[in-house]
Amino acid sequence: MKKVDAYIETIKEEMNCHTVFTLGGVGIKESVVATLIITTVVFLVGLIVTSGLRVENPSRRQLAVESFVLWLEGFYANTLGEKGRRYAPYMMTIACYVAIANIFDIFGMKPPTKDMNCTAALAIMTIVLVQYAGIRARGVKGWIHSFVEPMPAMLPMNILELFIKPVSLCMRLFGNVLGAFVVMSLVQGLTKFILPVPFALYFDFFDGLIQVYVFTFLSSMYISEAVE
Amino acid sequence: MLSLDPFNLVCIIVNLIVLYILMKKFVFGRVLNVIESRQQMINEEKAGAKAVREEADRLKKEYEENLRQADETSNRIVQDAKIRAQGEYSRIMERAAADAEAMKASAQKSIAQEREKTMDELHGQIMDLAVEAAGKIMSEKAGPENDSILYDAFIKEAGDVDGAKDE
Repeated sequence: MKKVDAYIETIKEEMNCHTVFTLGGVGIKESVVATLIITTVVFLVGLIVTSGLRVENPSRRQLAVESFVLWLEGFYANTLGEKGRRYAPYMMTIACYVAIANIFDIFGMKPPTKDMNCTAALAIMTIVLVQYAGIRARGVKGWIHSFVEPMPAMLPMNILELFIKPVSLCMRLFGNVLGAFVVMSLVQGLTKFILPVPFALYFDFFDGLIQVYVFTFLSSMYISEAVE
Repeated sequence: MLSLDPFNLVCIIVNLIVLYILMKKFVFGRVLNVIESRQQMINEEKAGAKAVREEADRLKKEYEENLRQADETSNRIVQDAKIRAQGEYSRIMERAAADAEAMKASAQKSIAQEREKTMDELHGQIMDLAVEAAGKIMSEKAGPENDSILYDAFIKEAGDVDGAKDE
C-alpha cells in the first residue's frame, strides 16, 4: 500500500504547477517559463523556415512552407469570413503556440496549457479580441446593440455569454490537457518502456491537436459572429 | 494548478502578444507577401501576354487585309492590261489591214500608169513608123511589089518595137 501511496503522491506533485523562481517577490511559474521557451522556439523556427524566400524559383522547403501557411490561412479565413479575415494571423499564431504547448509533454516538460493561468490568458485574449473585432466592424453603437440581438429579451443571455465563452474555452483546453497529462503520468508510472507510446499518440498528439483545432475554431467562430 | 495568478497570467498574455506581432510581421507576413507578389507577377505576365497576342492578332488582320487588297489590285491591273492589249491588238491589226489595202491600191495604180505610159509610147512609135512608111512610099515608086516590101518593112519595124518592149 505504501508504494501506491507514494505513486499517488508523485502524481499529485506532478500535477501542481511549481514556481520556478521569484522575480521581485513574485513567483514565476513553470507555465510562464514554458511559454517563453515555446514562443521563442516557434518564432525562431518560423524565422529559419521562412529565410531566403524567393518570388521566382522557390525551393522545395519554401513550397512546403508556403502551402502550409496557405492551408492554415485558408482554414481560418474560411471560418472567420471575409470581414474577419484580418484576424487569421492571430489565430495561426495561437494555433502554433497551443499545438506545441499541448504536445510539450513529449519533450519531457510540463505542458503550459496544463496550468489554468495559461488557458485563462488565451481565453481572455480571445474574448477581448472578439469584442474589439465587434467594435471595429460595427462601431460602438453597433457593438452595444449586438447585446439586444436578436431581441431585447436576450440581453442577459448575451451578457452571460461574454463570460461563458472565455470560461468554456479556458476550462475545455485546461481540462483536456490536464487529463491527458494525468493519464500519461499514470501510464509512465507503471512503465516507461513501449507502453506509453500508443497512449502518448492518443492523449498528447491526437487529443492535443484536436484541442488546438477546437480552441482556434471556436475563437474564429466567435469573431466571425461579432463582425457579421 | 487551479489558482489564478494575475502576474503570471499577464506575463503569458504579453508573451503571446509579442509572439503574435513577431509572427505576423516576420513569418506569416513574409510568406504571404511572397505569395502575393508572385501572384502579382503572374497576373502582370498574363496581361503582358494578352497584350502581345492582341497586337499579333491585329497585325495578322492588317496583313491579311493588305494581302487581299494587293490581290485585288493585281487582278485589276492584269484585267486592265488585258483590255488595253486587246485594244492595241485590234488597232494594230486594223492599221495593218488598211496599210496593206493602201499599198495594194497604190501598186495597182502605178501598174495602170505604167501600162498607160507604155501604150502611149507604143502609139507614138507606131505613128512614127506610119509617117516613115508614108514618106518612103512617097519617095519610091508605087506598085504591088513595092507595097509588099513596104508591108514587110513595117512588120519588121513593128516586131522590133515589140521585141524591145518585151525585153
